[in-house]
Amino acid sequence: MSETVFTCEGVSFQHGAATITLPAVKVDVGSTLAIRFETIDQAHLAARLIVGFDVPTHGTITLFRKNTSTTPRGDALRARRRLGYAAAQPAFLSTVPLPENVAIPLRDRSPRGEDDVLRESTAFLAKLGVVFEGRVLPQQASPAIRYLSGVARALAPDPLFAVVEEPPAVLTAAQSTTLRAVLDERSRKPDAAMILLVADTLAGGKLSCPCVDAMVRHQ
Amino acid sequence: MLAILEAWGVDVQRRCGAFLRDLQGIGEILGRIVTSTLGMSSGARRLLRRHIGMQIYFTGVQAVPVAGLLAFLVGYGFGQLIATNQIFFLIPIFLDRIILQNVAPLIAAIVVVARTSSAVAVELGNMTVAREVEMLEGFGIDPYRHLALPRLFGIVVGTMCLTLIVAAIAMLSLFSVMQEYPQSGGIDLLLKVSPSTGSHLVALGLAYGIVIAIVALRQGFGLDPYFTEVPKAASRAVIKSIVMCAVASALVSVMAG
Repeated sequence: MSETVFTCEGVSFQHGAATITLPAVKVDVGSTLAIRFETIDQAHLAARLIVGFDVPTHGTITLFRKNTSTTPRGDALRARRRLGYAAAQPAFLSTVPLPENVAIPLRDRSPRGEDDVLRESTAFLAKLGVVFEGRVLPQQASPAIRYLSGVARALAPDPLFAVVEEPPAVLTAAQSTTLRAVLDERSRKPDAAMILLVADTLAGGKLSCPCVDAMVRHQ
Repeated sequence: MLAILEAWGVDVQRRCGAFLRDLQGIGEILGRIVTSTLGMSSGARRLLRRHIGMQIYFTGVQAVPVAGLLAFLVGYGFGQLIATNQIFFLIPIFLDRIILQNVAPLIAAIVVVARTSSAVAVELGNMTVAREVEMLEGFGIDPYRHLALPRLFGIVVGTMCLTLIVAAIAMLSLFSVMQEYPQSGGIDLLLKVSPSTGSHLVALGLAYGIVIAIVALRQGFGLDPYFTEVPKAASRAVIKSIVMCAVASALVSVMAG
């Protein structure tokens, strides 16, 4: 029986005048699920709940079988070492070049040397079609490159569970195709789980994974 | 009159609340720094060493020209004062008690407060507002280990080194003035420094380093997440560091007897 990495039961949250209710879902190792929202903002708020940055006002979210509302900070930090989170607008350390930013989680989790870690991060970036020439700081990169770097940072350490937000409309057709291929490859892994939070058809329509809709009630 | 008293009462209450929150925040910083060091990977340790080295360089080495110039001017000024007034018998008091035990550590502390305390508060404040701190937590990286610990170590070691360097420059500066006056005692002047002065300097450097680092970390991590709060945090870091340095100085003096 495969390990359950994420469950969500009766969770709802407020976004402006809308109340969004997440579907009751359970994600096991070896499975990928997409949840579709009306907007990217709603998807982002849901991602924050899943990762444990925010706690739901109603319902229960468990991450690695621990309730995110009651897990102590230290335990939550330890649990997130098995998690990769790619936000739609990812934050980076602004004084550190992008490839080194991408290497941060990998470096922290791995006993390997600095060169190996950087080489692996660069290779993952190249897989997503991102190649840097010279020293590129996050603020010097385009939103699309920042997004793809965020995905590389989340997936390069090969986390047990990945949470990937759909990008804002900044990717070219070629970049979208490459991203879909990387996410497809990841979703086929038997020893990893993934949730895609989408507002468009990136995952729901074109990826080969189940997709459920979040319920949105406008007041 | 009643309104003034009422306003004063509200202000005192607000300040007491802020003081208690600061104490709580400092406790949290220290607690989280200690717990964050458990179970570090070798990659994280390597990165930590690099960051500590960079912070020591920024605090203790890059500040030497400014602090050294101030130390030289202070030593030279005291030398001229002694020479002009022919008060050579006061050299041990000026050198030992005033320059080495008080003014030199104070110069080092002021330079560190002006350069490092505000810089750390601004840097961490901007990182907090830009969600960079949250990003680290999202990957299971404790920001108190990744950001706070190297700054704490770096500032403490850097301040201690800078205090010793400033003291040495001030002493040599005074000595260079006194060389022209044989009645000052020549090279024997340097022997008039009491042995306890060295430990006093280290204790003051350590105390100043600790309070400056903790105040800067508290202001950087503890601000409300708005960019307009960052400059306020920087100025609070400077003011509170100066106040806390004065308190630390008094405590060290009392403990030294």
